[in-house]
Amino acid sequence: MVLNKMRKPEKKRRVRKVADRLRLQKKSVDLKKIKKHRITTQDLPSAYNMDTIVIMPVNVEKNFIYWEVTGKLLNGKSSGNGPLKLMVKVYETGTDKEVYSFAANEKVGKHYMNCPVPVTSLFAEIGTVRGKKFTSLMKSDPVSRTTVSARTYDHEVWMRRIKESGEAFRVSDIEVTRIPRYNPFVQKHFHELQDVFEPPYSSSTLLRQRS
Amino acid sequence: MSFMKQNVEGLWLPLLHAHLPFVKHPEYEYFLEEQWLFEAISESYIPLLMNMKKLLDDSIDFRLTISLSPPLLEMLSDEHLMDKYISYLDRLINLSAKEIKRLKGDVAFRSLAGFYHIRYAEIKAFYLEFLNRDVVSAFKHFNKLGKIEIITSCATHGLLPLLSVNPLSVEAQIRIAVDDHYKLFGQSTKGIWLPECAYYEGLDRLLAKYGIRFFFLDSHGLMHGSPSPRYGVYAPVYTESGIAAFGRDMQSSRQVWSAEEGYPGDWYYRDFYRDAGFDLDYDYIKPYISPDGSRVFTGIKYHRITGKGDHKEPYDPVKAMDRAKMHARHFCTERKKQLQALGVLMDRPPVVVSPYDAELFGHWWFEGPDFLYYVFREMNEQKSIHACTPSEYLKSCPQNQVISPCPTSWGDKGYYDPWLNKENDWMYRHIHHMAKKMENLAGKYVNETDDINVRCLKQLSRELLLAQSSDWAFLITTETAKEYSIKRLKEHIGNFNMLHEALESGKVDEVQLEMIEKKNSIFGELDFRVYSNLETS
Repeated sequence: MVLNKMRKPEKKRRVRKVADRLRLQKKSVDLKKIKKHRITTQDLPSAYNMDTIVIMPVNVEKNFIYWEVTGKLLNGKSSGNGPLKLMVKVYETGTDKEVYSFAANEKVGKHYMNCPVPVTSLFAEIGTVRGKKFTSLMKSDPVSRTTVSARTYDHEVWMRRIKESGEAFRVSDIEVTRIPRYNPFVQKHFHELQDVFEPPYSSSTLLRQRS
Repeated sequence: MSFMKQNVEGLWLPLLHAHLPFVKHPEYEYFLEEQWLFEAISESYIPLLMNMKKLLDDSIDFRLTISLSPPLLEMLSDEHLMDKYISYLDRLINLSAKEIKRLKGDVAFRSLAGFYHIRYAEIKAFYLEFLNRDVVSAFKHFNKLGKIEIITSCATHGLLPLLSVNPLSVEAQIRIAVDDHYKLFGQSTKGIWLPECAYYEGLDRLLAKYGIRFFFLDSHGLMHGSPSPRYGVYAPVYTESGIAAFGRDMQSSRQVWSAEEGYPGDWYYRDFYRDAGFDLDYDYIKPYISPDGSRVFTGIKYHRITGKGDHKEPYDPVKAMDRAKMHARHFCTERKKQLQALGVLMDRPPVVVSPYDAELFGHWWFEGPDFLYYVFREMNEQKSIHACTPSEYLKSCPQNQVISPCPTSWGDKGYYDPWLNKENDWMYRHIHHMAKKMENLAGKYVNETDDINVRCLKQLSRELLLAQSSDWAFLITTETAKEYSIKRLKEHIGNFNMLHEALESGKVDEVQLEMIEKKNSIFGELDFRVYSNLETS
């Protein structure tokens, strides 16, 4: 068995290219100097001075929200009577129905939202509250939620790849059928899934073993 | 010939996902986390390749799907790391030779020392002479023969649902991986292993854009899809974009993964944790452990699992091999029963999809590569179950149901908890901000020609990509290499912010840039314009 040779030539070419460039600029760098560049552990910025609100999915019940509100955005909102408070509201996408809210005590903050509502998409909005009046400052992009239940269905759609290459697909009506809502085959395996809870998997298995 | 027309009771689709985070420290002679790669090469990738060669030599047909992640491929092609790998092998050969002398008079342990000495010498010979220091091309070779199907994963194994706040970041993760695969293997990848099997709604459209034909989901990703799949996880489905999704079979997973009921826990198999690096006299073992004096795994392990207690018996490779054979037979019998039961419910041969981490075979489960060898041998003899690849299946069964899969992962609890929790949530604010900045820079400098600026922009892209690796979040959660993971994240975020400021102020320090380029050198030919809307639209 003869294996292909290493890609050494390509690699060498690339290294040479970098070296040529450096020569041109008359700034040769001793590779040993790289030893000075050990891992930096500088403190991370606590804020980026950029108005932000992001909502992310964690699991079927939980979402994570983080935000940053700059002084610039709040300018002009602080006049008037009473203290200014920040509030985050979460809505169902499409209906704009409020499903969750909480007081945001900091201009830069984060929050876990435990809210097992059967909603498929959410977005968050941060705003100021004075008295009972909520004034929106900014909204997040919507986020899709995960769901847990096996869904029922009225019909199946099947697709057939009609070409080995290219992107030609045809949505067929060959097997569009009406079948009972309760599919024993699927239900059997659905229950099996509920019964089994697996140990944590990850692609970092090799690393995990050291724990 | 179509599986439909053959007398096949069912199909088995084994998949090994090979991935490690990009770890390269040219600033140190020895770096603990670099050993992850060296251990994986010696204990998993080379034993797997050796067994594939053995199957070929024995005229045994086999099919295996292997996803090789881009960071792993980059490391396997890195000359600096491969030079260090040779030193790693030499240390082990040296230690095992020293052990043979030390154990004179102790029959059981001395023969084990000899076993390791021969084993590491064989691995070195295979690596240098047969592979010509090129592990990647060996996989490519078996791919060309049609025995394995190599697919890609994402650029730096970013958890796509949590990166989707910046859609261009997701696109870059896919696009760079697809390009890297083409560069290394000379052909487009047909499939992708989504990092951590994590899917979100709409991702299939992006996969379709880059020519991906199939991906994999955990069981509940398919089972909770809409509408419910007619055949459960035993046939793939198409998403609305026409991309096939294969679902993981739980039963075959449990048999291999489970610590309690899985094969790797057999008492005759080698114990992972008892290692010469921890067991032997400190002064004696010192030259073979970390130079800072910390005891580490050496790979020389003398004991079998034995039982649940602390008492350990000597490891017997012959008995362990017998157990691997026996487990392979058991695995095939169980698959046959499973496929027969499923077959009566289906109008096509059912397919059992069994994805595992490649590093489980050999590294964690020492006898794993031999188990796989015997499984293929057994299937070849039985003939009723065929191992297949995803492309073979889809060619044979091109008509499949259309469903919308459910966003899921194969992580603990089935969703994204291991990668987003109170221990690691701080990182996302920075990663998302870096991505936003990178998009702005790519747009602003899309026509940049100044060499230093272009290099700086490339490095900014690399720092972003490396920060996005799902491994850091996972390792923080599991408290394994937690300190290193936090340092790496801080390093990439810090480098990014520093380079960003330098670029925008027109004061890029070339010496500093070169040092970072040499260290975080992933994707040499990376084009920063992948983050430009103009480029990707």
